[in-house]
This record gives sequence, structure tokens and C-alpha cells, in this order.
Amino acid sequence: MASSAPSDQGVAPLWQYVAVTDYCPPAVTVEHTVRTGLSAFWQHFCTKEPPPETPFKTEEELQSIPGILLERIAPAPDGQRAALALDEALTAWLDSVQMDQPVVLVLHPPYGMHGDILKAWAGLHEWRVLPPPTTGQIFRRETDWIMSGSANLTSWVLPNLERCYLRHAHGLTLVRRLLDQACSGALGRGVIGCDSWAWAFLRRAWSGATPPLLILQSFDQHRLARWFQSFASKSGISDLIFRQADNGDYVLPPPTDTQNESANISDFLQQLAAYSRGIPGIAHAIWRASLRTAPDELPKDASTAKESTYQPTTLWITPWRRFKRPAPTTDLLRQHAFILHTLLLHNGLSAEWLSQLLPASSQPSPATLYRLESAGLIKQQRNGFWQISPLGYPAIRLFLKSEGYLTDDL
Amino acid sequence: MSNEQTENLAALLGHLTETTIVQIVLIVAGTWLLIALTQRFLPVLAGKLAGRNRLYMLALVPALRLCIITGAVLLILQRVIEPTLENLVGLLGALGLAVGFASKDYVSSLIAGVVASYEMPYRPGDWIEIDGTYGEVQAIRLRTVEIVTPDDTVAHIPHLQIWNQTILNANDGSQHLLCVANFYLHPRHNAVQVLKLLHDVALTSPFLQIERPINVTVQEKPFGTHYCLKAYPIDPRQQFHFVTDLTVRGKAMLLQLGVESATTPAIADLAS
Repeated sequence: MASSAPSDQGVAPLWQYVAVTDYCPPAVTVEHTVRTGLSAFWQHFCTKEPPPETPFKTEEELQSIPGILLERIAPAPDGQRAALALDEALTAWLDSVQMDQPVVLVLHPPYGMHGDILKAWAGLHEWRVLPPPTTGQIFRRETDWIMSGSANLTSWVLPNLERCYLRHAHGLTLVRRLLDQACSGALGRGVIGCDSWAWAFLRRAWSGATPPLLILQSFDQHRLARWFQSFASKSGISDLIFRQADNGDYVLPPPTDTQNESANISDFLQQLAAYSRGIPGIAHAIWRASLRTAPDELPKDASTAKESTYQPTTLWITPWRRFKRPAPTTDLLRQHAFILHTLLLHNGLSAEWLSQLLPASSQPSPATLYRLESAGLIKQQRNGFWQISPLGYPAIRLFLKSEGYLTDDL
Repeated sequence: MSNEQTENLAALLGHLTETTIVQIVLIVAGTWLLIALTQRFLPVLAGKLAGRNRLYMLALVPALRLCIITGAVLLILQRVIEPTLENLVGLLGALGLAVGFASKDYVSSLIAGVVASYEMPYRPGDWIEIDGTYGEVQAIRLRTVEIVTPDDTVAHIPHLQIWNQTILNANDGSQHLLCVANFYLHPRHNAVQVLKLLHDVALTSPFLQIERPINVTVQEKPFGTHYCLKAYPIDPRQQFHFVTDLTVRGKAMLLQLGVESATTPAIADLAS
């Protein structure tokens, strides 16, 4: 069932859906592990700043990229290309006339964009998109929501299964009933999207047989390079060069006409892929945050650039070890582990429902939430939901795993 | 003391010079310093670590202390007496006899401490109960095991308890500690429904170690129906919060379900 979007021959496709057993997150480099371990150890016992180095471009010489320009160079990804890859992966299932597998489950890690991708896929086939129940409906166990949503339908897509349950004694009835009915074929054929953390919990809370699982293959440094390059190519800005600010190494391969033999390739993307665990949404957020430009090297539109005055535009990438990632203390994480874990299991919650799900001893006050926000660990969405921040996710996942909390399998 | 005995002792300690005495003093001081350092800094270092690493680091303290003392005794003996078999047997025999009579229980605890280091009936981080005292093992000293009770009281229990007392170890070196929340309900209710509900109460607790099984057992008692909800917390140190959470949420859910707690009138109801 696993497959991929159209791609160049001989090159691994950018977007590719695979079975969970074939999913392989980018390996963390030994250097990264040693460096992270040593720096964490050092942080415990020393507060002294490391000695300054002489960078290729100092931080004072660089500035953040203006928002409008950033939207052109690293725009928010849409789910269209991934939807095509998903479509190819589902071809055999769609062609099958047997109803022995009425449901396919598509897993995505946090910031895996599964909602957008599944909606885009539903648009390709004009399948009905089922909206999730409200939290009130879940809590009141209004199981008729399922039938009202799928009445007179044989084909449907539920993009966000994680929005159909609450980790509460009254929050599981509805999702269990939904999965029972969907997997028995009583609701026709359906594609269900689910957050990997929510599924890690649900597969322990629901005793049915697991339906076929698909997952978007992780992005290693090669995939990230092609992805980011494709953004740059479509930006409409004449030749963009991405170089590391401290040593001038190329982060993305330079255009062939500017290439010279002495050009070094940076390991930034390798570090990024490992740190983000190959999750495109998280890598993309870090990529955007690491982009810098020099005021005298403003990007030019391709339409206005003349060959006679040709000069490639250089964008500078903050070196990996200088990139400011959230670095919460173990005490902070331990103190608020329940809040962070509950947010991950639900892929975001409102403050009100977060309070309902947590024990009295761990109630999240507004001050607590804003403290976690200022530490870069969580962020508030436009709909008021609190969610783990993309930059904070890797550190939080690492901590929760080391403490024995339930984590996703990815 | 006869002349012969005096001569023997003089021969035994004949090579004890001033230099040797200074060396012995330095060895004793160095030993004391090393033990103090390990007892002070290893727990601090352990506090910075998470999960099992913390327990391993804490377990190093008594093991290191034993090694240091053994090393120091050997170094001193080497300097005090000629290390022949006869001398060693004579010295240690006399020493053992004297100390044994003078402080039998003390020595018994010391020996039990060595046995405890080897057999490991408890380790730092374990939750143990000895003679009715329950708490978390904080440190294993030479003579005693130091535990902190749930009321934050430190109890020093001599190791010699391991000779004739039952040592109850709730987690035995692991992170898995079974907690039990008890519910006593009025007998007139749907037991299957309550079983499912209590299972979900445990499943949805943030304290739950979900990789471990959840069990609900039921027993009919003269005063009502007794439910035992058994599950494991993520961290053994959260056991009391976990049981509280299970009890509070379990009671709330049961009330919503319309199931009443067993009370004295329930018996009267049944009788009528």
C-alpha cells in the first residue's frame, strides 16, 4: 500500500507514505549526541559563557528576514503534494472491491500537517470530510454524532481522530464506538488521520484490531534540502544562496555557476533532520527561524535582476550550535510534565479542558501557561488552544521518554 | 601479661615507626575525606539525573564507601604488621573476638550491611517496609538503612533486621510499583459497568504507567462490594498522588453513575 508522489527517476521521492514498520527517523549523529550530552552536563554545573569566536558574519551584521519576504522564501507548506503521495499509496486500497479493510489510518507526528493533507486528499476524490465532535459532545458521550456525520455516505475522511477523544473516563466511549463501527465497515469506507501521540494512547484504550497504518516518511537532510530548495526556486527571487553565518559553508547546494571547488557543504541540515526527527513541520519552523540576511544584501526579484549586474543573493543561516532552541531546565519540565504530556496526547487543548483533564495537584493556572510559553515550550493558537511549540517539541519528547511517559512510536 | 606475650606483641608491631604512624593518620584522614566527598556530592549529582540513572548514581554511594574502607584497612594492616598469614589470623581473630563481645549488635549490623550490599534486599530508591515502617530508601549506610516515610520522617533502621524480619520491597530496584485504590460500594449496582468505569478511571489518570497492566478485582463483603483498582504510576514517588487521583475521580464517576458507597445502613437495607 505504501507509495510516493511523482519524482525524478533514481531519487527518493520527497513525499512518500510508508507502513509504520518502514518508517525511519533520521539518525542522530554521534557528534550531536556527544555535544548535546556535554553541553547539558556543563549547563548543570557551570553558568559561564563560552569564549567568543570569530564568525564569518557576526550576529550584528545580520538581521531577521522581513515577514513578507520570509513567506516567499519559506512559505507555510500546503498539503497538495503530500496528498498526491497519499493518493498513490492508497491506490491499491481504493481499487480493491473487498470490504475486509474498510478503514485506513494515516498517522502523523505533531506538526505533520495531517489535517491539511487529508482534506486535500478528500478534495481529490470528493469524499466527505467529517468534522470532529465538539468537546461537549465527547464528554456527554453523544455517540449519535457518528451516524449524523456519515448518514447516506459510503466514503468519508476523518482528518483529526485526536479531536474525537479526551483522556477522561467519559472521554473514550465515543471514540471507541467510532473505531468499532468504522473498522467493522458499518460506516462504509473511510480514511482516518490521527496524531501519532493520540494513537499511542488510543491503541491502548481501544481493544479492536488495528487497521492498516500509513505514515509520511521522515525527512532526512537530502529531502529537507530538496524541499527548502523548491521553496527558494518558487520564490521568484533571483539566485538564492544559503550559507552558514559562522564559516560560510553552503547549507543548500549553490547554483552551478557560482560553485567553486573549495565550497564546503554545511552539516546544518543533517543536524536539523536529526533534531526535528524528520518531522517536516518542525524542521520547517526551525528553518524559518534560522534564516538571516545582511541589510546590504537584500534579495532581488528575478524579473528585475539583469544579467549584466548579476549578483546572487545570499541568505545566512544561524549556525546550529548558536541557534537558540528552547532549553528548559529539568525542574521546569518535571514540574509541568502532565501539562505538556496532556497537550501532546490531544494535539492541543483549550485551557478550560486542560484543567478538566488534569488532577487537582497539577491544575494549569494562566501564569503557568504563560511561563511555559515564555520558555518557548508551548504556544497559543488562534482558536485559543494551547499546543506544544514546534521548537520545543524535540526537547519535551526527549524528556518525557526518559521519564517513562507514554510517547509516540515514531 | 607474660614475657612471652609481650615479646610476641613487640615482634608483631616491631616495625611500627613514626613514618608509619604518619602514613596511617594520612590514610585515615584520606579515607574520611573520600567518604565525605562521595556522600556529599554523589547524591547532588544524582539529583541532576533523571529516571534510572538517578537510582544507579545513588546506589554507588554505599558501594564506593565499602571499597574505600576495605582499601584503607588493607593499607593500614600492611603497615602495622608483617603481612604473614600467622600475623593476620592472630590479629584479626583477637580483634574480632574483642569487638564481637563488646558490640554484638553493632557488628551484626555491619555484617548485615555487607550482606545487604551483596544480596540487595533494598537499594536506594526502593520503597520498603520493615517492621511496620514504610518509606523510600534514601541511603544505605554502614550500619543502617535510611528511609523517608510518606510523612517526610527519616527512619534509620539497623541492617541486622534482615536476619529475622521480613523485608517488603514494593518496587525492588525497578520503576514499577503497584498502587491500590479501594472502593466500598453498596451491593445493589451493575458490577460490569463499575468494572469498566474503574478501569477507565485508571487508564485516564495522568499518573498512570500505561505500559503496565490495570486490574480491577471485586469481592463481596458483608457490608458491601469491595473493588480493588490496581495500577502502576509512572514514578514510584507519585504513588500517594496516584492513589488520591484514582480515589477522587473514581468516586466522582461512581456518583455520576448513581452507585452509592457502602455504609452501615446498607447492611440494614440488605437485612430488610
